[in-house]
Amino acid sequence: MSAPQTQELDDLIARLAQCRFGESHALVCDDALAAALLAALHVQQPGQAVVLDFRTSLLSNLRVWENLILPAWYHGHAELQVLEQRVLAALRPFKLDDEGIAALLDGLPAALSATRKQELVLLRTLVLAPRYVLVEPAWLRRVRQTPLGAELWQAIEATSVVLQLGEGAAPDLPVIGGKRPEQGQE
Amino acid sequence: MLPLPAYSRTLLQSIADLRRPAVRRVLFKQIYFTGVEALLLIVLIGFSLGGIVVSQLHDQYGQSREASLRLLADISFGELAPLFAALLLVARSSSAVASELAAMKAHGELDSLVEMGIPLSSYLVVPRLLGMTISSAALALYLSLSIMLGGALLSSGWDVGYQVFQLDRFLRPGMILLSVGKAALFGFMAAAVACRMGLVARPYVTEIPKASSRAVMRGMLAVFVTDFLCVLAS
Repeated sequence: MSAPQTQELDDLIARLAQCRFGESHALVCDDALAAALLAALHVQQPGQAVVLDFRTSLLSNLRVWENLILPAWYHGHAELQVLEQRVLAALRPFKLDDEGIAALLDGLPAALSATRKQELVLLRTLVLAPRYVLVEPAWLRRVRQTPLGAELWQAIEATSVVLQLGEGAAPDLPVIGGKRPEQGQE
Repeated sequence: MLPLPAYSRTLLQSIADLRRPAVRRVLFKQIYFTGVEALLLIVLIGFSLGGIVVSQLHDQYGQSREASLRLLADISFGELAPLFAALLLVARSSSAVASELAAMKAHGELDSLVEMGIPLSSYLVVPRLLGMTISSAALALYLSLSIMLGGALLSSGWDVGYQVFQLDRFLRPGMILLSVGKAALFGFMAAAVACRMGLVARPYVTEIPKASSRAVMRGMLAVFVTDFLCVLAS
């Protein structure tokens, strides 16, 4: 990165540090800066940021419960027993009985529908409870189409600082990094 | 979509990440799949191999039990066990590791790990390298012992119990260490090739069988070349 870009990144990190949980912002910077920001946030405190976009998926060689706790367990955010409680608490909006929960958690992601996988990606984010969530607006729009997805997203929004990436970010959001294009400009 | 940052981890940092329970779980799974699940297969192969080699030795060198078993110990610990264990490992596990990693790449799961701040070298590569290295060493040890048992049974028939208790006359600690060390080296080479073939595969489903096949063929080549270099060095 060039010196001005490094300065821009440092400024952005400083501004982010002042954000409070529950705030949402638009991050309209170039991709390189956003990627550098993600890397810097992971270096600063591993696991404090996640990206949610169309690339985000569950790992097919792990059972659902392993997928749900993986990032939090890897980054050492909590012990297994605590993570288990978090998973069960986060599963409440799914309105499943004990058998349903056991079947879901013991299954493999390959057996699930695309919508269910998306909901579980949101659940994994809830279990990790990252400080920053970098989300692609088009992915977010799709997630919000289902009531369960919308409910899970609301829970994530309340406990994180959400950064909507790129020019597709909701127009009413304050811009924290970069600049929105002028009206009529490509 | 956001270009993903590459989290560069040195080999030492990746090894240090084994302190994380999530990474140790991957290591133990690898040891279980490679070293434990193959145990019965290895023991049966070793037993048959011991019988075959001793029958050949009898044909060539007469009926001396002691001479046959001494020669069998030299051959199996020095060469047969590490090489056969590595070949079985390549056939069973290299293909599995390469296709698993190639499938993860094709389905975007590697990107997903990076997005969560989990370095691929720490979570995917090092546990597989270490798991296959440990398993290869253990499998070579089981294999050489079962070769000796098979040989003892064929050469001694009902007196096998006596011969088994006399095996320590033929086995030297240096011989066992050499066998285990060579097998560990072969296992490491096979694992490195398998991980590389899986990770460099292009992200298409059609690349998965190609990665698996390449891992087997190049893994075998790596094992034979390494063995040849060991022979030259000794």
